[in-house]
Amino acid sequence: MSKLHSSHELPPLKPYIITFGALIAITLFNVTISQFTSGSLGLILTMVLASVNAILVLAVFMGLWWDNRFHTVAIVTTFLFLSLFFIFTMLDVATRDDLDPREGPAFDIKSPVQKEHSSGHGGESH
Amino acid sequence: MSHVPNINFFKATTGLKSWLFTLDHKRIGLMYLGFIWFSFFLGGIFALLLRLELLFPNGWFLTDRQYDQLFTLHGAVMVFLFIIPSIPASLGNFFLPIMIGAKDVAFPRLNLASFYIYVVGAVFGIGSMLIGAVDTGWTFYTPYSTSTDTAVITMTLAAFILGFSSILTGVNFLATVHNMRAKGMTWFKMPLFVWSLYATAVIQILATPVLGITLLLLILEKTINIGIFDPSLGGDPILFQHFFWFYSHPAVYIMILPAMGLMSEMISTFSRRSIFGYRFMAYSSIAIAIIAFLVWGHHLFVSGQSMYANMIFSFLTYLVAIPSGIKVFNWMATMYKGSLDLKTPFLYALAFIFLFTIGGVTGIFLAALAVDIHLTDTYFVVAHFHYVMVGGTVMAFIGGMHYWWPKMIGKMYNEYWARVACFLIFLGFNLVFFVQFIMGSKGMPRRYHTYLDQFQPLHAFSTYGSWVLGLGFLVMIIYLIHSIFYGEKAPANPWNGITLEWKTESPPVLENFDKVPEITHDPYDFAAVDGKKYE
Amino acid sequence: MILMILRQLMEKNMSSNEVLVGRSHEVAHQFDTAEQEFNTAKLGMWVFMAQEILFFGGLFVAYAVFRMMHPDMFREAAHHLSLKWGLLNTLFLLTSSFTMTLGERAIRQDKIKQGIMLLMTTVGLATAFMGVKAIEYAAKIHHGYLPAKWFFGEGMDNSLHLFFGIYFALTGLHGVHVIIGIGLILWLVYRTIRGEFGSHYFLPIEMVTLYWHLVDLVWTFLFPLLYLIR
Repeated sequence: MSKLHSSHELPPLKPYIITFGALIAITLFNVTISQFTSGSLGLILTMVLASVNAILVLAVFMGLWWDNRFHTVAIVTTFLFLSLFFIFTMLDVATRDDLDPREGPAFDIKSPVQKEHSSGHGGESH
Repeated sequence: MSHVPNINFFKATTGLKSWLFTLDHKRIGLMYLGFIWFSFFLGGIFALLLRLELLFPNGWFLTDRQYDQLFTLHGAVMVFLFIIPSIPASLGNFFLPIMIGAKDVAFPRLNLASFYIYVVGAVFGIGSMLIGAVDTGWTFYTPYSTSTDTAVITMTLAAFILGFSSILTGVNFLATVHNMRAKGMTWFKMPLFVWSLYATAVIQILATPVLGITLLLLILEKTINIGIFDPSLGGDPILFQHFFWFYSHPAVYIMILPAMGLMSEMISTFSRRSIFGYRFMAYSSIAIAIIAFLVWGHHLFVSGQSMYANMIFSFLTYLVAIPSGIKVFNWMATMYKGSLDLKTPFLYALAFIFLFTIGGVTGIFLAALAVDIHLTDTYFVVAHFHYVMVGGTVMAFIGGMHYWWPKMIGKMYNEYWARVACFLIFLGFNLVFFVQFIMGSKGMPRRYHTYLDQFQPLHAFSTYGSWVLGLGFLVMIIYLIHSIFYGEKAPANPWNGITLEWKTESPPVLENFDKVPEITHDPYDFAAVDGKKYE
Repeated sequence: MILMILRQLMEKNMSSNEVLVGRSHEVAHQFDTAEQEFNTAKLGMWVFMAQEILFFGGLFVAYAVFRMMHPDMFREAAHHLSLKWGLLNTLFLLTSSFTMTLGERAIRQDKIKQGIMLLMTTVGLATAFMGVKAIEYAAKIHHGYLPAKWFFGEGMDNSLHLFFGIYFALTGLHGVHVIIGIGLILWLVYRTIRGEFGSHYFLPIEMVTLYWHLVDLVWTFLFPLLYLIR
């Protein structure tokens, strides 16, 4: 990776144009394949493509490629901590009633919204 | 900004306006100090009222609801207005730039902004007490917080605003430590207080926004019922606890880490010895900051969280003991064979070690799943938390305030009365909280103002202790205020410290140093400074 | 209309020579050099963006939790969103990010007029984004696809209201950031017309450009997660 020597040096223009083209292309590709895939495969593909877009924005548009390495470290750390939040929370929700199934999944409470909407649900009743 | 470096910062400009619009980190630090102690006394009055109510088993002057509101306000004021900003915003603001040889923090205007954001948050918080004090506990757990008719929105808005003040302080400190160090001040020549503020800043930046979004969602839940946390709409109330504790557990390290940094300063100076294991102290601050994010689930052991998550969180919680233990042992090793000078700040440091160790060890009990199920929501937890937060953070905060009082104000306090107050606070604190361990282990639940007759003697004992503790703080505030007006003028270096803040006048000049010093020795290298070898 | 006022302002200011030279920027007293000031401010901005990522991150975690609980409901809910409008908005934001960068480059090279036009294009695209958002919101409100308590839309799955709670929270928060961004860019345009920026000083432009890319970054994930569930 190349690093600029001073903040006043201008990075070349070409990477920006290529990146912009790539972002548009990947977005259109993402929309197209989302019409043919489904379920977790679709989700994974979509998220991979979105992540590629995000990395392009970070590296080129936001200039991390030419920038002080610490900024990259800061952003990577941020995503790592966010993933901690994500992983532990999902771990709980996914396995919450594995050992104690008596009451059924805690999140399977069906909503009374549509049924009770006309009777003024959501007031003092709960 | 005109350059008049030789005048001390009190006299550089005068008038109310020069304080309200100041960009000087020292003045902002002092303004914070004032507001923070005001919050402390407000929260302290609530605490004294709570203890008074608990003197008798049947509740004698408060209704159930008033008691609920009072302990919520005590918690919310102490956590959000006092202890989270306490050391970083006041002492940190004042001393971080000086200790690294900078003229100011990186973003002085942002610093002033975060002070005013704090004030606005405080106004909202105190305002919420007037329009219907919250009775949810300071944790605002759903679904109760979404159904109670008290001023939850105003109080959560206050905490939301205070969170942003905290984030901006963190951003400021992190940038300051990275880019504002004087020549020769390498990372491993920084005083440990700076290291601990750096670790704190990392937590403030990475954890506090999650509190922001949590409280925002709670407000949305209460106003437009988006349903995420409301079980009657298919939402998940335990998710609220995950969101809340992802911030609020790291937040207890926001509270304790700066205190640990202060401890290293005081212990090294008053033992006249280089800190034992400097690098380990620095690394353990960072380690605590990282582990802080891995353990929040131990607040959810009995909430209905997944058993697997419980086991993992229980295991990870034990890890916190390692860096904390490293710090305590290193402080002990620093004092070993040092030439100890039992001045007031050092007495508070000793109190910290004693009380924090008790708080830490009882934390190990609570990390154990099976024990925790017995002890959850009892006075044991209350006592543990107060031993760490009051016995740890507040002791270090008071100690640090005495340590730097001559430097900040330029006046000496009365050493005799300071020792009296220190003794009263240490004694009173133990009287209040030690019996609560016993009550808790016998099953006395927290957050009730009526209890079984058999707990009455212990509760009464605790209440008497609260009066001793209150008296101690009263004595402290009197001699400190007295010292501002009638105190002896302080020399530049009353404790013979060798970190940078002792190399400028007391109080410091406007841009901190007449000439920015060049750093040649390690922060605690007393041997090099004194020119003789210390064993 | 706005463009005309802008042009007048520009002509008024551009006629004086002062603009070409640029007002000199004084380094704040706590820094030794302009370079240190620039690097510190940029570091502060990146750290602030880390904060923003976790702020939005909380909502994404909520999204993930509910999507895991109700995968079928999310699939159905996505069909109630308009892919056409969503894609259009994505293209708007991506392009605005590009024009923002070009605008920054132009000002850094002292091509002030070109820079101002590019910044205004960015504002235009952002406004178009908010316009499309308004059309979408109006349609949702009209058909009753509202957060939980207010929900009266039609659907097969009876937990659809949860999706729209998250949808409005996520897009609403993002929308607030877009509006703040529009305000910031207009403020930049104003200061550029006053001749404060150029190759000698462009720090605020760099900051706002980073912020604007962050807004784009968040949408990069929002679009597939909300509109592309099949």
